[in-house]
Amino acid sequence: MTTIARAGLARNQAELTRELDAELARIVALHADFVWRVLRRLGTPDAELEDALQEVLLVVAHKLPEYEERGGMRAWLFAIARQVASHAVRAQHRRVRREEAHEEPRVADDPHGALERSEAARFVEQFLASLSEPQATVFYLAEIEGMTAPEISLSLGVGLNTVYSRLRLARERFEAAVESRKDGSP
Amino acid sequence: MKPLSPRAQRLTRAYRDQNVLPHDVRARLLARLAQPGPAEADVSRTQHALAQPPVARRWLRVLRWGGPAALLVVAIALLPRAPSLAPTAGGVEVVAGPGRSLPSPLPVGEGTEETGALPAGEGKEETGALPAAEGKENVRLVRAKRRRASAADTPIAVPSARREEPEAEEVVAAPTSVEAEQIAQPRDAAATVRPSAALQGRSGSGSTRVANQEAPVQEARPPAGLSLDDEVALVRRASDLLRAGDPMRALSALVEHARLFPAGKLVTMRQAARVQALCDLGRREQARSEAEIFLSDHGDSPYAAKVRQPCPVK
Repeated sequence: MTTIARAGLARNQAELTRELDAELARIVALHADFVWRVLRRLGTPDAELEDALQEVLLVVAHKLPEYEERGGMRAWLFAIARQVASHAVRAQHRRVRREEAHEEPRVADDPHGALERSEAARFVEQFLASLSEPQATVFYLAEIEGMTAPEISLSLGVGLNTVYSRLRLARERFEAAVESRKDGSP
Repeated sequence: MKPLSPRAQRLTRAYRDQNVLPHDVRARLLARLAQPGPAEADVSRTQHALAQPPVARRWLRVLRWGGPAALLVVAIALLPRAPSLAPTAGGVEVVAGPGRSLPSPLPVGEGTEETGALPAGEGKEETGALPAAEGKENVRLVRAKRRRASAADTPIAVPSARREEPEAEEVVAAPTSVEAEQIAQPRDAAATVRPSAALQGRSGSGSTRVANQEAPVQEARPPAGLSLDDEVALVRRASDLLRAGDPMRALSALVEHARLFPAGKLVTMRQAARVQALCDLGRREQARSEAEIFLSDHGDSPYAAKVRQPCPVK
């Protein structure tokens, strides 16, 4: 390869790198909250959330050059977050088992104030916990994150009709729960 | 399909609004993004991460990720005349079989020439990044960085060619959006914005120890890297919390705003929101007296009308 060709490649690479970095910054600005919530929702321990978010962004940084705007950025981010969260959850289980084996006292840590959330937020949290996981995830993505059914279908790898039917059922249950809450609360 | 009732929607909104990235985490993240990336320090960072993992748990992760990362670096270095084998940018396949193409162990010190581009004291100077986090991100980001850099390296993959890389590293990133601009804001004039590489900053003291020896220059950087974006996010969070009926947390967000941005751009907004938060908390007297002060200072503010009627009877 000639020196000129090498220099050209290096320059192109510099441009590419610049574009990718700008894109990463944009993703962080627009979607960090989303990723954070998804990680929490998927059971990432609070103490690990920041690490997990960091890891998602790392994967994003790795894969950004290959990213194709097919199913939407959030669907893609969700898929990555899901993977990272599942690692974190497994690691947590291993740790818990190890700690139990050593009978070390465990302190429930809540660095991000999960305990302080308002009653309304807790209500939704409890509702989500009462659903089956597939239903909860669809409801969560549609109603909390505002994702469209096709986006959800792509994120979860399930059919569009399945998404619609899970969503419909979950919505009915939510409305019913909201109704009874209204009755029960002043 | 019928949408949720307004009442149900209010609840889901409350859930969403109260599950946002905490401000301190965001600030750390933004600060990291605004840090210059290490130009060629990857290999030695990896080595140090491998050599000085602070906690047993991190050890395991470092071993899990660090091994492949180091082998990857080595493998790239060993492919000087075979561009066709070069991993593509972001080539995931490299991770799948790291080192498989490794013909012989290479002195890993090959890539240790440091450029001094490590952000010194990062993490430490910000908000005291969790000490336990050190090591791992180093290694992980090395993978990211390495992959990305590998595209630049590989066509000219003789080790010496890597010295040409700074040319690529010195270019200041051009944010494509307002958000990116705001993220990049806290940098000083000399700062090179390398968000993806700078994420490595999470690594805390493990790399900091190394960095301090090599790049004390970076100390001049603005401390926490807070930007207008942060300020807006914080005030918005407060007003969202107010709307969601959580004045206690709204007030604490406003207090945080006062601490972080005592002379920020949104001071009047903060003061007006405080009046409302105090009302909502039932601290009417305090609300009234703060309203008075506000009106005497900012009588012509767009928020004055609202503040003029503190704690309306509902």
